Amino acid sequence: MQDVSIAQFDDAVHATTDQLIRALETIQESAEDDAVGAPRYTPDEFRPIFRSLISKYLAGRMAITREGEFRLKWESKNLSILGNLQQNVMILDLQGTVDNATVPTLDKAIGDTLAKEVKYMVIDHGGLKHISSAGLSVLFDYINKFRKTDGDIKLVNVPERIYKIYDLLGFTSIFKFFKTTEEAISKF
Amino acid sequence: MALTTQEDSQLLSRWEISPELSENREALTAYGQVICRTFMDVAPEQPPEKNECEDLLTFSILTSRFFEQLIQQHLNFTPQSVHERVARSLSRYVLDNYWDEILSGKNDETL
Repeated sequence: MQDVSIAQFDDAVHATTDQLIRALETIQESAEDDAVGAPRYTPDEFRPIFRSLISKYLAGRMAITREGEFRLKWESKNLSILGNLQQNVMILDLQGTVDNATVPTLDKAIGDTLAKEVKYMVIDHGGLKHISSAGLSVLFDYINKFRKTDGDIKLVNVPERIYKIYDLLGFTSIFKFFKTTEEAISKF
Repeated sequence: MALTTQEDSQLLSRWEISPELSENREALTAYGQVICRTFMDVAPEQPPEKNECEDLLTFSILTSRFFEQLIQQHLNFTPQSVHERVARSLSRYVLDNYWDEILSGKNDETL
């Protein structure tokens, strides 16, 4: 089982689909002499179906940790984010520091999730050492976007020192804080 | 576990496709091998299962010259839904009967 980012997964699906269609075309070409009339089907017509089937196959070997749950990964030098999609809730586990250098990684993780039309998100702060105002600003932007789609972002496992930063900048009235992921999910 | 159902066998028999199956064994196996090899390239440590190949082989058969000929000889003027059912039955038959050959040929670069 490999942990892969959404981009790596999509790349693998596209490359594998192309490879399979090329191989099928090679067989077609070698059989051309025996063919009767023009072919009714071409592999390209089935490309979206092949892509969907290959995506399903690779998900079982590249990202799924348990049935129905996807594990995705976004990484930069001082921040690693693992994403578990449990039914319709994306759970992001932050490990490291969110600062000016790593905030684009957080932005991408949440943006990728929103782009997949996931409406509910839980962000686990248990492994977070620090979050800067730039990080809070990204979260603030996204919580508004999620709420506009009737979704929401909830924060869990927030250490005292990190909670103080939220409090200091006036974000405790905007975000909802929970002790555990299960508790947060039950409140969606 | 066998994929081929009684309905599959009846369908292949009804359209008198069995002779083509043995005549085109090599070509049909080649399609299965291509799918296996493609999967193995991505996840070499986890070979595909028969049932995981069924859908892709069904659609690969639908795109094949062999199937085009088969339509002209046996299924002319039948709707696409029939073609798809026959292709799926063929796919299951091939996977059940030629699986060892398909798996053993998964690394055959000369294919």
